[in-house]
Amino acid sequence: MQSPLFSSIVGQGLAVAMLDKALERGPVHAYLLAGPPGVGKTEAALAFAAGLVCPQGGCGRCNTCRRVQEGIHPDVEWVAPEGNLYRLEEVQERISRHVAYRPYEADSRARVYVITEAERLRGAHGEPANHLLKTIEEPPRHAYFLLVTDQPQDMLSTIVSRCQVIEFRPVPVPVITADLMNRWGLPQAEAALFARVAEGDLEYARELARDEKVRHWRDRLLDMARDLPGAGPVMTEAAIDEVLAMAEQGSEELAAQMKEELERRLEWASDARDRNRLEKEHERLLKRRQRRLRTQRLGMVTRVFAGWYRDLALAAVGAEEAVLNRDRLAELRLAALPDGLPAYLDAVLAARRTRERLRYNVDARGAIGDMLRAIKEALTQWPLS
Amino acid sequence: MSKSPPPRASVPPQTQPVRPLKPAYLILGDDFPKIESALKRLRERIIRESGGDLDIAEFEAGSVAPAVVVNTANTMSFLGGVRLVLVKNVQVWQKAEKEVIAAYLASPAPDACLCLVAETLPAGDRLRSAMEKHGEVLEYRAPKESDLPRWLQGEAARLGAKLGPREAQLIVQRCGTNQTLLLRELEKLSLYAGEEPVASDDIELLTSATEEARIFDLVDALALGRAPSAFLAASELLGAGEDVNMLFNRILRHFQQLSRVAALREEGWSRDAIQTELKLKPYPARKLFEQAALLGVEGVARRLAALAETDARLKGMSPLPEDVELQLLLGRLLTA
Amino acid sequence: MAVSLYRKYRPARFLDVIGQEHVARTLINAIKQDRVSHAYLFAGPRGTGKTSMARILAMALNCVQGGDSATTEPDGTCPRCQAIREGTSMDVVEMDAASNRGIDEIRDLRDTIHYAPVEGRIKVYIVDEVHMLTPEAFNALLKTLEEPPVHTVFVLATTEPHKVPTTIMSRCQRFDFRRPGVAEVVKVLSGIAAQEGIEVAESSLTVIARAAGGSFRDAIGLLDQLATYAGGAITLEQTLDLLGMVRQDLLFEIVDLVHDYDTRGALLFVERLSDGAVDYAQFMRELLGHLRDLYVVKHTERLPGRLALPEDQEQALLSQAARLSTGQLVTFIDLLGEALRAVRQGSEARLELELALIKMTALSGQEPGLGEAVVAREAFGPAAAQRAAAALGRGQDSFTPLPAPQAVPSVGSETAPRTSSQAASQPPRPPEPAPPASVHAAGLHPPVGTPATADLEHVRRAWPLVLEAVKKRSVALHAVLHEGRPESIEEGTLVVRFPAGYRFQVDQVSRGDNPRVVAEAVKAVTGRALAVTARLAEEPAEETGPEEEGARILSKDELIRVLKQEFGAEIIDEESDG
Repeated sequence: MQSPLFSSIVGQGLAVAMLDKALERGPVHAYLLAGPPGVGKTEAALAFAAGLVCPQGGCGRCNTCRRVQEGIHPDVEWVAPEGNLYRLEEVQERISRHVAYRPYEADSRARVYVITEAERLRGAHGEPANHLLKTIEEPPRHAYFLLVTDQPQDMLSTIVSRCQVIEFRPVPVPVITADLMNRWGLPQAEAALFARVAEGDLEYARELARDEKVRHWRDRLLDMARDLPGAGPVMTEAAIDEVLAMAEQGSEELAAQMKEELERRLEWASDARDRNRLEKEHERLLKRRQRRLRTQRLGMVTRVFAGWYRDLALAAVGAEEAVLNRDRLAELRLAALPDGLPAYLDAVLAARRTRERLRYNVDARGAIGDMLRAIKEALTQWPLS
Repeated sequence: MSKSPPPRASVPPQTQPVRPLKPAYLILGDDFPKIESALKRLRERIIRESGGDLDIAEFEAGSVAPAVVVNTANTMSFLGGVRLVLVKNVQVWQKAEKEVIAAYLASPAPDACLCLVAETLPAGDRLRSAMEKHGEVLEYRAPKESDLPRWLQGEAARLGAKLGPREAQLIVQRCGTNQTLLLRELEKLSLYAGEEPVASDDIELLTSATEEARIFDLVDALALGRAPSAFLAASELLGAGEDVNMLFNRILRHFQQLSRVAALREEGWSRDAIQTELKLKPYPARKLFEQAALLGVEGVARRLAALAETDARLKGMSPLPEDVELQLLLGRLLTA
Repeated sequence: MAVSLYRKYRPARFLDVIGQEHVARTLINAIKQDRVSHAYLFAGPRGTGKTSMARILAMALNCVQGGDSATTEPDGTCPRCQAIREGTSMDVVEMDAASNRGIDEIRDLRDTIHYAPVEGRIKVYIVDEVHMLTPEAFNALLKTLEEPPVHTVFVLATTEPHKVPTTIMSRCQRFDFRRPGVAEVVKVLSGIAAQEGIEVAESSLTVIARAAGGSFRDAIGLLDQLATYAGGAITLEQTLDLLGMVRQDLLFEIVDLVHDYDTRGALLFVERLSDGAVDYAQFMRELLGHLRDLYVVKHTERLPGRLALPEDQEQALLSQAARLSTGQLVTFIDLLGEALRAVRQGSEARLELELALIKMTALSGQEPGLGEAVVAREAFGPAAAQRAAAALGRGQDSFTPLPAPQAVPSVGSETAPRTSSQAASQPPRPPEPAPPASVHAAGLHPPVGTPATADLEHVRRAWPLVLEAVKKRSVALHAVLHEGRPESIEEGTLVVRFPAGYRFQVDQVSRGDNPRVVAEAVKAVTGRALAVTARLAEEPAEETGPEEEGARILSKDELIRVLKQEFGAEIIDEESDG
């Protein structure tokens, strides 16, 4: 009987089975949760951590389990690199310094360190990783390490060999479809569409399902992509403005949402010191989440654009069944020119290039503007029907 | 009790008649294992004859004045036995300094043994002649490279192993010319083979080919168009942790060398002449000549072109995994 | 806590370390003859048994079975052996240089080294990944190795022997641990499965062995995971699923589709894949591995031992390798490499796969062997192809007719050659697009495997691309070269013939660096290393189409002016193309 902790994790049968068995049989001290982004690794890490810390072995219901899964339990330390890569000092500060201490709370059975973006432990010259190695090899009895990474190929092998690797996969489309139908009560057709469009990214699919605004954005972005070839300079500028507004918008809402959560948690706080700690954590968490959100939003833009031109390319060669944005099939058929393949290819590449750039914190307006320009250039060589 | 005996290979059993301990010895040569064991014997002998602990003063000729050395030798050992005064690298001393020592040698202290070590001293050297007169000169020259196989056979016999000339040759080719390393390989082989003669299969299986030897095998296979061997050799090199870029550079240098050989050969030079001109050792020279004969200047040029292309790709950070890049290179080299 | 299979089945006797019999025998003989060395260096890839062998040696030296001396067959059960196996023996010290690179640890070692063994006979120091020691630590270690205490044996282990200084190496007896073959790993796995009562077919074990890449540790670890996951008998399906591996037949299928230039088929294939729980990135990696295997097999004509495929797949691999040209393979490998890089940087795997397939099937030349000449399919139709050419031609229109007589291709008997300047009677072949992220002419390889002898046919077909390449270097040169046609190849030199009256152009093409520039373009596009020379025709070119009477010889400036005026050409700065 699988632990209730994992019940909300979808499409990761293998990973969950292994984590569950580990809790049952007795866990080792170091795990590496590896797989593509947006499939549930952090969720699983927190669930597993709850299983380690909870005095009942992971009931999923008690205060401990709840707090762990919300990321606010003092015995579950959430570690992320401050800059691009981890530095030795960070590892020392956030981990080594207090790894030997007994758990903070009396009924915690363990201290858990969730180390995200673990591939960045290689740091500049491998020192953060080497430093951590020793601790992972001979961990204090109460300590557990859950390393999480999107980039398993970039992980230092010396670390990997000391962890038990738990692999996460892209979630199969039918599974996502089922999840959207069951959890959000979407009708089959819609659920199937979103699952398809999300290409295995569960988080994205769920966003489309639950957030009307996100659905609206997708539609708007598709429209922009469709109309871009014929758009004049003014329209194009307007498009850029709209896109950037989209990216920023989520930010404020997130701040508001988190403030609410903070209020609620402050009610649980035991004393001034505890409140202080919660507020500090909140600050850190908010900043991180805002940054992440913005990146995600912009990522969505490039993704939708790339998707549209890709669909055009597919329609152009007669591979309609493979089109992702099936709700726009009619428009695609109309717009796709049989000989347009090279141009559509160029457009997709332009979107892809922009996506790469955005990862490096470049000026968003500049990058998006450049993308639109490049796509237009690729396409306006063609007389439009 | 299992413990490791001293490296027997380089310590011949004491067969000479015992001679009185000389007041001074000069040890010359580049056969370092032999020199080390000679020094060891000397130390042990002095201990035996002193009946106590070893009183030894060690110096580096470059950082001590001969006067100090002489003074040390003249000072009585407070342990009561013979004092050993050891000075290494005496070839750096100038004439005047050597005079000081020579003077000492004319009337050495009775309870001291002065031992000087140098790689080489010229024939008429002051120290040398003084030593020849008042002490003893011992020379331990490392065998020439061409004599190494025979030397190895001798050492094998000492270990109680049977090693034929061809196999000895193979070992040297594979494992290089460092005598200490060769002795270690020999020790392994003798243990493995036991009573049986050492076979070339044993050698391939057990000995650690030097990187050089392995790469040579690889480029030989490449030059001769032996695809399976080439791919196998490359995968072994990579398996031993060899870095793709380093491997690439070695292959490149080999073909550059091959280009020179091919050019000379084209002009009618003989193999021996090429060997001398390019300062090659006999085995590589023979192989390069063979390869050049097979490929010709043209063939080598084409391969250099393929290498240049791969160079660009490796430095341009090709997105492909390095081992795939390497295999692509092998393919290009084999079919250029 | 449950013990992992790997720890449970760590070999405890010399000859149980599979694949390293040469090491085992030598050590056994050394013990028998009392010639155990003070220091050993075990070198080899990870998971091949180095640590296991070191521990067995430690047991052999200390086991009570031996009485006063070492034994060649430690029993593994006496208190000393047990302690060694559990890592609790006071006399066996295991150090990991990866996490203990420092001189402090070595200094500690040197301090304690002179104490006699506590329980056993010989103290054994095992230093793993020894190549990671700092230079200072190496020096300290060296001093210890130079004067080893009597009751001590060192075993240094490393995966990178060339990083170990010679000074240290010469004090050790070195053993190279070889990577086991698939068969050997399968043998070990079978044994463990039998003992553990795990039901698993050999085909699954083979898959695991291949996935483990020569490491026993990894292979056993995978078996462990599988056993946990499956809970009963392990099927092939589960094995592939756990490893995220793809069925081999799918890899064969996609390669065949690509070979047939079936864009639609390939894209529908990708769609079909998504029905299963496929990880596209993993698929691409495996496809890359499959292509790499095809490439190797093409050269070696036999299956190397490490591949060890089942009989029927072996046949399929060999015959597929025979069908494909090396050029195609290399192009495909390159495209997948690019795709995987993009995925690493965050792009969607499915999209990248589709892009690679489109480039491979829709934009490559139809003739195998012309891998590097990327041209549009005929299916696109003449007018469209011309437009495509225009679109991809970077603004400079190289396909409209110039005031030159060479309006149609020369030599009517040839069916294939097309040149860049001509009327729309035949679909011209546009050059490949050169935006940075797509397929580069320069980045592709000359067809390896086709004879390096000059092939006029080939050069002719690729001539438009050669012109494009020249244009990137020099617009002016391109403008004049344009008038010529590759006519013949004489002794390694390509002769470009210009019609009568085109003296100026001939002179220009022959001047200064220009022949070399053209030759480089030819080489870059076709892979042929040819010299280039321009020749003036004796008589007016009759075999060509309509000529303009009294064709004037234009001076360079006039020529450029005409181009600008009549055709809206712009001079592009030669450096502008990235």
